[in-house]
Amino acid sequence: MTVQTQSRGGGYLDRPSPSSLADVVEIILDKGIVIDAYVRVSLVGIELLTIDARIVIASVDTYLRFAEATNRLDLYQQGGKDLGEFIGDMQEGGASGKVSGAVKGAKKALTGGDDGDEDDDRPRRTRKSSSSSSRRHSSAR
Amino acid sequence: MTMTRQETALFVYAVVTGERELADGLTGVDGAPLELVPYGSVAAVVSSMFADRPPGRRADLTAYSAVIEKLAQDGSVAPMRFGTVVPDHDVLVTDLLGPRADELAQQLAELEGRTQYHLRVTYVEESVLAEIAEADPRVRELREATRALPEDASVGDRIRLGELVTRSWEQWAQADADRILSELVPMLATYRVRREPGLSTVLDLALLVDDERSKEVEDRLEAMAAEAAGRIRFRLAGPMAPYDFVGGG
Repeated sequence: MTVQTQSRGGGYLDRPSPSSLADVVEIILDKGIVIDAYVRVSLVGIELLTIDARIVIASVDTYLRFAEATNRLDLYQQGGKDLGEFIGDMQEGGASGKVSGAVKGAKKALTGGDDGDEDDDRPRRTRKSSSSSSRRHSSAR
Repeated sequence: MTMTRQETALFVYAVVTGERELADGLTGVDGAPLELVPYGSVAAVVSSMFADRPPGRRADLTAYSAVIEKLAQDGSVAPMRFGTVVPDHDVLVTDLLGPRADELAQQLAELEGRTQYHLRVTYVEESVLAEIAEADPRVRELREATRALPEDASVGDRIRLGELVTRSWEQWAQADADRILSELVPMLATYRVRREPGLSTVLDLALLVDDERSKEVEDRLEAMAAEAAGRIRFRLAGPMAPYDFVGGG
């Protein structure tokens, strides 16, 4: 979308640049005035952009993902680590790296990888489903 | 030789106030020139397209949003849902403008001098997880218990750990959402919640802001983002046309 270009001010507030397709899809695709019979969208290209809306995460998978992320943390306030913990870190770091790499890859594939999205490290989220005007998104929780 | 005639239809972008005029040379989907269809105190902005070619390509979406943002620069605009295509001018009048002109005129009046932003607030995962671990001794214990073990040997504990963490996360997200929202609301004309606070976002909001308060809102969010840096991310898109504030959803 041609959102007016803004200066980035102090820089803490992220102001996405205009014309990011991912933003356009997310923000405007299922908005606006509807005349029911006349929304006719053949989502040839757009379908691909929004499929990750339908990646439903079972709660157990969510729990395991958060557990893994918690275990990956270096909690310095816990004091020093012994050698065993360091080795554990390395092994887990390697494994989780692969997992999150695969997730990122899938998302890139779905979004065409051209959205400049810097939010890959957030929890998985649903995106508005938009293959038709009648379909509403559902939360992944 | 027979001439095949392709049927045309009208792509409908938005409704604007009746007194609006279009600048010369504006084009929309497929590069077709824009046309105003006035009715009473409102007018629809349309362009002609082939009926057998439903919109849905990237170029269609960007052309649509470009037209609407262009219209938004010069006054109040009520965007139509992307992909609204009517067969002809008659249908446009009988199914949209005729029955809804008054309602649309009122909406346009309410949107006058206002603009939309899209605000998304998310946690920085590492720092919030660390805070949760620090705040909850059960999380620390389960973490210690599961970290060194192979995944198969500790699935039960890992699930319990994740459950505790996600529950805290959701509670914290709700609390931060309430706090941030209560700071913002006095500056807003109105807002819509696009997604409830939870694991994926703290806040996902469409904001409607009076033009003269835009800078105040942006500055406040900048200050809030600076204050929460490293823990909470603030992302603000816009100003943009009021997509979230027309049509009653």
